[in-house]
Formats: sequence, C-alpha cells, structure tokens
Amino acid sequence: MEKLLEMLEDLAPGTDVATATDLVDGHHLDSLAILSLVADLEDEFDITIPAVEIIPANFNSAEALWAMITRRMEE
Amino acid sequence: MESYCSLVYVLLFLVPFLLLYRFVPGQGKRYVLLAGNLIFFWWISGIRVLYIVGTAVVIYLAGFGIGMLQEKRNAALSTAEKADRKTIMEASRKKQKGLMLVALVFVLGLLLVLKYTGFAVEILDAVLEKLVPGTFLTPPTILVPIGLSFYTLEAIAYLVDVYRETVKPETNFLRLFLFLSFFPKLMEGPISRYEPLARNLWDGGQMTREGAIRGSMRIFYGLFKKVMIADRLNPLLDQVFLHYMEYNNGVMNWIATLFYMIQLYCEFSGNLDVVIGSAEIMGITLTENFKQPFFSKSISEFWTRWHISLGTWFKDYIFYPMSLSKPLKNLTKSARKKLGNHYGPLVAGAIALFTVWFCNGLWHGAGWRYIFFGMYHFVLILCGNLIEYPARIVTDKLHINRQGKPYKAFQIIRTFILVVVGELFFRAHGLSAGIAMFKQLFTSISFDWITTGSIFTLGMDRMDFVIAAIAVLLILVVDILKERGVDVRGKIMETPAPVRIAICTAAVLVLVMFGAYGLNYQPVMPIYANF
Amino acid sequence: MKKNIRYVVYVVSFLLILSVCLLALGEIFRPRVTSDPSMIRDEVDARILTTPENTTDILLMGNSEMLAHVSPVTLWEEEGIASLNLGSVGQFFYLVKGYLKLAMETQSPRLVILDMDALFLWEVRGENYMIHRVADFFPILRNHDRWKEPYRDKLLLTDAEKKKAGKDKDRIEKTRKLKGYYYSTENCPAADFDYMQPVSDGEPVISWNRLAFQDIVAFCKKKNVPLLLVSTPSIKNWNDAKHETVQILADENNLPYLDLNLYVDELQINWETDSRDGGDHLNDKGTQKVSRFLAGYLKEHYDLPDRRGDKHYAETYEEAAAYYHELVGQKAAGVTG
Repeated sequence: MEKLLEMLEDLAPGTDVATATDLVDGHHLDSLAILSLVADLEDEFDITIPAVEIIPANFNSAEALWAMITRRMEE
Repeated sequence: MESYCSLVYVLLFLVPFLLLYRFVPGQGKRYVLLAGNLIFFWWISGIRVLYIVGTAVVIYLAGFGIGMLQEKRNAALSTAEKADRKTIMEASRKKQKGLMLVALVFVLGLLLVLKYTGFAVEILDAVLEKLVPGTFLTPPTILVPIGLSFYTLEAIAYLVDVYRETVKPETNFLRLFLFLSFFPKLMEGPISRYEPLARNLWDGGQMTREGAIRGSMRIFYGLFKKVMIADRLNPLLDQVFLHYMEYNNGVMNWIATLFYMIQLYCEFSGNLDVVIGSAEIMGITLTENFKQPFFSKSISEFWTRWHISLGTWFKDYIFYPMSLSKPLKNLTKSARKKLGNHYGPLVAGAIALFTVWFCNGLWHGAGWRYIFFGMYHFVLILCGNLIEYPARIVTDKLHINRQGKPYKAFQIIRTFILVVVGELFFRAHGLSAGIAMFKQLFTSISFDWITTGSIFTLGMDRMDFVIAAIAVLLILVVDILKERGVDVRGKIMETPAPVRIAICTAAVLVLVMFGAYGLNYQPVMPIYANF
Repeated sequence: MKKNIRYVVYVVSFLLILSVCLLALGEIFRPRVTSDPSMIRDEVDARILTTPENTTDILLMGNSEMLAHVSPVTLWEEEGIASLNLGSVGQFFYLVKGYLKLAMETQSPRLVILDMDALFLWEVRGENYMIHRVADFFPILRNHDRWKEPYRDKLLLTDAEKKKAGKDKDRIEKTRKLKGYYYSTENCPAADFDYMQPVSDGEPVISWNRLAFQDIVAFCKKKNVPLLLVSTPSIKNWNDAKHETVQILADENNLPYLDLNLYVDELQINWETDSRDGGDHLNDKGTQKVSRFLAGYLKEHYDLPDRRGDKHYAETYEEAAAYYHELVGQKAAGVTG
C-alpha cells in the first residue's frame, strides 16, 4: 500500500493521495499519468491490467486502486 | 429542421412528441419513441435512414454471434479440464474477435466511405496532379445521414463492450435500434454507452412534474445561449474569417476567434442543453457533455470538460486498448529501462495519443485543418506531460505555490488562450487561411478597427456588443455556480410561485426582445450538425 | 392530485401572463410613423408608413427582382395606376404576409402582384418561417428589435459608423421617394441567349417556401384581394424549368401567372444595355420597358381606375414622378446619383 501511495505522490504531487476520492474525476491523474501508473503497478506487483480495468471507479482513490491490484494478483 | 435550438424542433416536433409520450401508457411508450426517432431521422435525412438501419443490423448480428460464442465457451469451460481452460478461452476469443472485426470494418468502413471519400479524392487528385499534370478528379458529393459520426461510435462501443463482456449482447433488435436512433442524441451526442440508457429507453421514461420543469428550464437555457449570444456574434466573426486577407488585422483575428470560441460553446452546449433537457422531460438521463470547460487548468483537463463523451470514447476504445496492447506494453517496458519510470510510458503513450488525436481531428471534419487541429492538441498535451517534471523544478525554485490561486489563475488563462488559438485553425476557411490568420495575430497588430469604430459596422452595433457582454456574463455566473455545485434550477424551483412565474416570464421576454433573430441578424449554421 | 392541479394553474397563469406581455409589447413596438422615416429599421415598413392613406390600388411584393423591375412612377404616368413597390432584397415569402398586413391597415389595394423569384431561394430557414408564423399571433416577434430605433443615431459615434449608416440611408431614401423602386443606371451587359427554351421538368422548391407561398395565397383570399404571380426578366434567375414549377403552383391555386421572361422580344429587352449586373437585374432602361408593358397589361386585365384626376392620389405620385425625372435629368447631365 505504501509503495502505491509513493507512486501516486510522484504522479500527483500536492494532492493528498491517501484520502482523495477524485484522483481521476478531479483531474489529478490524466490519461498519460495513468499509463505511467499502470506500467509501474504491473512491474511492482507483477500483475497485468487490461484496458477494461481502466475505469474511474478503480482509479479514483488509493483504496479502489489497492482493491483492483489485489484482485489482479489473485487472477 | 436545422438544429435542436429552434422553434421548429421545440414547437413542431418536441411538444407533440412529448404529449403523445406522456399519454400513451407503459409499453406503448417505446413504440411512440421508435416512431418519433424514425420521423425525426426521416425529416432530416429521408431515405438515408437505411444507413442507420444497416449499421444497427450488422451490430446486432455481430453482437448476437459473439454472445453465442461466449455461451459456447462457458459451456465448454464448465466441463473442461483445468489444463484445457486456456486453450478453450483463447480459441473462443479469437473467433469472437474475428466476428467483431468484420462488423467493425463494415460499420467503420461505412463512416469512412460516406464522410471521407471526397477528401480522399481531393488528396489523390493533388498527388496525381504532381505526377501527371493536368489530371483532374472531381470529388463526389455524398450526402451523409444525420448523426452518422455519432451513432457509428456508439455502435462500435456497444460491440466492443459485448466482446469485453461488460455489456450483455442484445437479443432484441428493436431495443438496439431504439438506442442507436434515439433522436435527442442523434445530431450532437452525447455519445452514449449502451447501458443503462438502452434499458431506460425500452422501459419508457418516468415523466415527472419535476423532470418536466427542470427539462423545460434547461431547454430554454439552451435556446437563450444560441439566440442571445451565438447568433449575435455570428455576422462579425463570419466577415473576419471570410475576408481575413483584405482585413489583414491581427487584433480583429483575436476578436473574431474569441467570438468564435464563445459562439461555439454557446451553440454546442446550448444544443446539448436542449437535448438533455428534452430527455429529462421524458424521464431519461443522458450524460453531460460539458463541465464548465473554460475553468480547465490544462489542455488535457480541457478535453475532460469539453465534449466529454467524445473524449471518454477515445480514451476507452482507442487510447487504453492501444497503449495497453502487447506490442505497446513491451515498448513501455523497454522504454522504462532507458528513460525511467516517468518518461518511459510516455513513448507508447505518445503513439496512442497521436492516434487518438489524428482520429479526433479527422472525426471533426474531412479536411487538413481538422487534422491540424488534432495535431495541435496532441502536441500541447504531450508537451504538457514532457514539461511536467522540469516545470515542477522551476516552480519549486521560484517558490511558486502551484496550489495557490494566482498559479491556478495563470493555468486557466494559459489554457484558454491555447484553446482559442486552436479554434482559429478550426474555423478558418482552410489550413492555409488558418496559418495566414495565425501569422497575422502577431505581425498585423493594429487597433484601427476599434478606434475608428469600423468594428461596429460588421453586423454588430454598439448595443449588440453590450447585450452580448451581459449575456456572456450571465452564462459565466451560471457556470461558476455550477462549478461550485449549486443547483441553479433547483434554487429557482424553490422560490414561491409568483416569483417563479415572474422569473420565467421575464426570461422569455428578454429572449423575445433582445434575441438575435429576425431581419437584421444572421444566425449561425449549425456547427456539429453535419456529422 | 391537489399538487397537480396547483401546477396546472401555475403553468396556465404563466402562459396567460406571458401572452398578455407579448401582446402588450407588440402594441408598444408596432411600426409607427415617426418624424424621420430613416429611423425605421425595416425599410419596407418605412415605405408603407410614409405612404398617405388610401393612395394605393396595387401592392407589388417580391425580392430584389421586384424592387428593381417595376417603377410605380411609370405605371402612374402610363395609365394613372396607383401602385406601391414593396419589394426588398432577400424578401423571403415568409415576410410578405407581414408587409401586406401592415400595408392593408392604411391602404385598400385592388390587386397584389407577387414576384415569384423568391420561391427558389434555397437559403431559407425553417426557423425564420416559424418565427413569422408565430408572429401572426404575437407580432412582437416580427418587430422585437424596434427598441433600437430611437437610439440608433445616438450610437453612431465614429465616422466609419456614420458613413455606413449614411450610405444605407441614402439608398433607402432614394428608393422610398420613388415609391419603392430601386433606380439604377449602371450597365453591365449580359450574354443574350434563348434562356426560356423548354428544357426540363420543374425545379425543386424548398417546402418552407412552398408553405409561405400558400400562406400568402390564403391571406389574399381572406382579404378578398386578387393575386397575380409574375416573373420579371432576368437571364440569371429564370429558365423553363422554373417557369414550369410556378405554372403548376399557379394552376393548383387558380391564380394567373404572367411570365415576362416569355415577352422579352415584345418588350424589346436588349441585354447589352438593359441590365445593371450581367443579367441578374435590369437597370432603369430595362425597367421602363417592363413597367410600360405591365401598365398596359394591367389596364387590360384588371379594373384599375385612372387616378390621375384625383387630387388625393395625384399629390403623392406627382411628387414621386418629379423626383424620378430629377434623377434622370441628373444622370443625363452627368451628375452621379
């Protein structure tokens, strides 16, 4: 989880990534940033994230992201 | 009828339709809607309604087929060994993909042929001219069915979603057709996803008093934007874009382009107000297409606030599928090793982004200036991302607070100017005209037109300027309130009845008295409607 | 249930109050005679409002073709016909009824002549047609920006603005004094050819134009004023296909149709000297021929009294005639007008 927060911090500095629930909707992460994040996550957690998972519901908060990551790890 | 923001649409079509829709009970509503959709389509495009039927049939059959393949696969999986699972899934996926691609080629091909043949012939002609001087090919004039560019994207989205199994394949053709041909979203969008809209349309909307009032207010607001502002600004900007060579005046170009930006916003979002308001009265929800776009702090944010449904379509069906595809993912992997975690993914990202913006530009029109428009935004977004890190270093060194109001104001103004310049190329009569006008912005600075008062002889007199300014200010205030989450219509509805009636009466009277219609005005040709 | 009734009451009250306001505004802003006719935004309205009451037996409607091709002064001098040319540039059919209505408040015409060129205008907008239809009930929609009239001159602050307004003013005034005839002596020859040769079937007509035309027909019927359809000579604008289309419409509505393009030889129209813009419009030379012919035709086919003996009519027409001859004289003397 910490690693995730670190990554988010790097991509959206100045935003309180731990508690934010509008990372996508509030435009703290744009599509290129999300690409960066996906590449990072795939590397770090050894998962694959297909296009269908790239929805605001999964990326709007650190919590949602973590849930997606754990889900992908189990598959 | 030429556009939704018109008495023709509201009085001759919408009101009779809504009355029928209201008083036909339950299941009958869907057939009233079907008839309404067909009449609307026929009114504008006549026999070309066959095109949308064709697209619907193809998508329906393909979706149905993919559904069957998925069921077969599921049946096979339930009885299969663990070792065989992967092969079964792969085999089915391949078949599904094949079927999907065939249908997509047809649907997309139809769009390309109908909309871009003329442009392609132009290019071919230019190329042949260089090789064999004297050749002359006449680009054919092909009449495009209304909404082609919009419903084609929706059809593609539906089929891809079926393939991705995020949408259940539709077994009822009428349901699919009802969705695709839904008349409010036909001419200008929003480009909608299949569910929950398809289900709502089929079940029939719940018409409530509140929906009717809100929807009516919204429709009026759209008409207001168009008739008070968009039509009022038209003569001046039309003249300047047409006669830019004679006028040769950068200041006038700035003004005309600014006017165009305002006009485009009022016309486009105004039309969507009428559209979403119409659906609202029916009890149907359509997604918002605008979210106070001029408060954007960056170009990439702008495209999440302007023509939102187009942006999300490109994101979900081109950008991510491309950038997360195997070849591009591998590219990202190797790029990350060489360029680091931030810049690495940008390589694949840039390729996907380029594709998106090339298509986005071209989607807006068959012409070089539209491609240029797409590339302009591509470059700006990419640069924005490339500059991100160095910019942070600079602002840190200069102790500029990026979260502070002044910096945010700077970002908003910067974005606004960049967007406005982009629109200059969009509106100009051709790419070379756009380039010439752009040069004039910096080389032909002269305030002559303003100081001599000639600016008031182009179809807008002084009073028109004042009225336009007041109206634009009003829109700005409403947008600010919306940005803050204030429910403007709700607040109006909460006022006591006499106040409400007074506000509504006053609003209509203002529009009647000061609207830019009639003999002495020159309304806009609908902008997005040739799509 | 109670709530629903309440809302019905609200909606009905809103519509009632709105209607009353619109009607009131319509009254306040109805076209009125002012001391300075050039202040009136609609030049055709201005023409109507400055014409003395009961001095018109024929109203001539149409677009720039009618405006330039029939001279009421000539109709007067030939046969003592009292007519008013209400043609104007870009006069779509949906505007005609409004002008007729206004004119018939002070005039009792015995005939309305409609130039059919506007039937084929393709840039017509359904929206404008709708606005004018609604204006039948709420005239304010037609006159809504007349609030600008009192302020217009006060807002002309710079030379450029004044110059532009002035140019328009002069042209409008000159036309008004000639009872709506746009006088031009420019000459831009047109290539002569037999442009009315039978070639093809009818030419398509946009439905909004057709609807507006039917409105005019119905209005004239209601007012019991005969309607005569005409086409005036124009190489650029007329051909056999269009003639066919108009003829069919005329037959459907039991209306006489006089196509002067078929009489070009009889009229002795010389396209070298008689057109001001290469075959689109005639100049004064051509228009004199048309007007003289038309005077004879009208005298023969319609009961139109010779008003030259009537002082009430003579006053205004003699004034117009004097002004016309002044312009002709100026032109002859080489004074540019």
